[in-house]
Amino acid sequence: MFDGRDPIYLQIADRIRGDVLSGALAGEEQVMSTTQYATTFRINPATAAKAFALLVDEGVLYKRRGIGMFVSPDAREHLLTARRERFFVEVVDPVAAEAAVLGVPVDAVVERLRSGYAARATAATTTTTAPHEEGDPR
Amino acid sequence: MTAATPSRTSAAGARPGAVVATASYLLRTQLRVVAWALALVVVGLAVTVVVLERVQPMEVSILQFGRQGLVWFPFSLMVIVATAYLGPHVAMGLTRRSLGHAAILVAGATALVLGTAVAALMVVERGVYGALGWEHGIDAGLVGLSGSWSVPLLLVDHVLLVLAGQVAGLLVGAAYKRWHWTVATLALPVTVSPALVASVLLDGELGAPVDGSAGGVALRVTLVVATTLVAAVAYLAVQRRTAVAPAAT
Amino acid sequence: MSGFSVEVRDLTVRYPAWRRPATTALDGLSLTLEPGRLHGLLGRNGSGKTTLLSVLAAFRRPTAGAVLVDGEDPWENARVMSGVCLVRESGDVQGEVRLRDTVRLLEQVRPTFDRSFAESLMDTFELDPRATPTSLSRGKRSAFGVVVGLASRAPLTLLDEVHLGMDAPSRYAFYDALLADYVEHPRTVVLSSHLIDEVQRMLEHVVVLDRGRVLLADDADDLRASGTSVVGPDTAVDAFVAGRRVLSRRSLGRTVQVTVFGRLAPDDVAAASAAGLELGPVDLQDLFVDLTAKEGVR
Repeated sequence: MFDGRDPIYLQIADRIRGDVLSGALAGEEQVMSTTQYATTFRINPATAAKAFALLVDEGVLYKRRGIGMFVSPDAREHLLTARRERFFVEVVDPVAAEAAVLGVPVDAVVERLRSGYAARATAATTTTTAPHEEGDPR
Repeated sequence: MTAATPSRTSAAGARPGAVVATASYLLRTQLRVVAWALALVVVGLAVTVVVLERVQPMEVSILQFGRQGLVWFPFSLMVIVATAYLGPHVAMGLTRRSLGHAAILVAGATALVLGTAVAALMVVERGVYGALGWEHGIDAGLVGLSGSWSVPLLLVDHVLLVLAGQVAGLLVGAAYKRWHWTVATLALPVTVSPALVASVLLDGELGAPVDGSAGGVALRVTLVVATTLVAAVAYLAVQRRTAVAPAAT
Repeated sequence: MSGFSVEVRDLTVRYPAWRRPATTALDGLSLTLEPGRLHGLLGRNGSGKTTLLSVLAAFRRPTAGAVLVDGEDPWENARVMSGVCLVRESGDVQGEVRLRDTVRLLEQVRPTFDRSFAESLMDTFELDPRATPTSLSRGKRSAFGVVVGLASRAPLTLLDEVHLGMDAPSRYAFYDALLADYVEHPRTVVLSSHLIDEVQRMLEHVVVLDRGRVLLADDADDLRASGTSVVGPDTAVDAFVAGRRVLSRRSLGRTVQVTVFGRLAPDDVAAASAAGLELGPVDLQDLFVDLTAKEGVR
């Protein structure tokens, strides 16, 4: 739990973003309070507060006075958009480079992508407003 | 030398609440022990009288032989207060000064209570002897010194005995708590002196000629009071700068 | 008011000459602790942690230097002292007095003491109120120390290795109680512990003492990020770490693991992976061991 290199508050923020993306945390759902975070994971409450402040700035969370921290209704979309922008540069390009280095034919890569995507798509949430990205880079 | 900035408020020192709370706690604890001891003395005295009634008549007060106990038992109680209680007291967030003041108050209160109780016991003893037709001879103490029965003298005598013993106990304890045991032991003749002075001066036993006149008695009482006062001031000065070390585990 | 601040300047504490050996426990130590935060105080045995805490709590006087707690010298200062609570392993409560009587006395003399909280904590740690400290096991005595330390709710709470003798479940109960109450009633807490692994994530600010001085004082997150483990073939690793502050080096054949101190820039990270080196985090415990290691026996 929170053993990575990054400061703990960043790790917490990552976790929450991940939960929002995967649907584990839905829009308008309440997040654990700083106290609960602190006592559950035995971390300093100020650290949890820092993570929350970061996520509030990003628009992922918002605060309801006297009640607690809630997931913004459009948090997931925002995160998806941001991730999608980085997707090709951070994820796809390295794959292409590696495939080239190893001499793996592109068709094999594409085939793999297709089957993997199909398996996931059925389990994914239904908000499929993503533009079609049929991956034939040629 | 410490270069700490002096406190900006007048908060340094003892708060009256702390002194009163500490004194009442210590007094309650101490009087409980004293009450037990007194009860034992009364029982012992009663048994002795009853036994002796069948054997042979007494000619002298029995209680008068308990004078040393009256000095050194309270002495030992106060050594404990000055040594074992200082750490917990400071750990509770209270100043050494508040303990010093509380301890002196307790010494005074215990001296009054215990001294009066024993003096009263002696009056009772006298009554019992009288009822049994025995002589109530007293050689010890100020009454013995002056040669005449006097309740005020009895009171002053016993109260001072206890007080001197208690204050000496505080001073001895404070010395051991503050300094290395070798230093405190070397200082023992000085620190224990109030108790010694009281047990010697308030008695007729040591040295001749013995001046049992009113002036002589007054002089002795003054000397005992003076020694005790000086010892009390010394106690406050010694304990004020004592470090509280981690308790040995 | 949510806690006392602490400021220490050039603090020196020397134990007197008749103590063999005469020691300088604190050697011109300077330190600032911000109020309302949870500070960790780390250091080897003999580094001066206990002495520093003793001076803050007015248990002993400095030989030289200045100490300011909430802006004032704590020594014989009734206001400040009543707001400072130092709990050491045990022995700062009367050994022959029942726990419940000590609690009653504390309620009278410590303005911030919460008796019902103390009683519920005694329940948590399974302490019999009618028992006396001397009749308890070491772990239970420490647990009572924790009860006193937490229930006192002092604006400056100093916990000096309070966990000694406590088993793991009790320790975790202590951490949980500390965190929960610290959130409800903010105050300045200084936690001195050898079990760095267990407490590191709770700390906001860390001070490391070494031989009577502050070795470093930093934000816990920043300190954690200051150590990096570099693993790879010895030539590559040595090339990469040249010019950096190396804390330790362990080798197994030609593979070497080096701990460096100091943040790595993104360029460095890229250079490392390009050189086939593996970078990893160094937790506070290992960082601490490496930073305070000495050549030879201490």
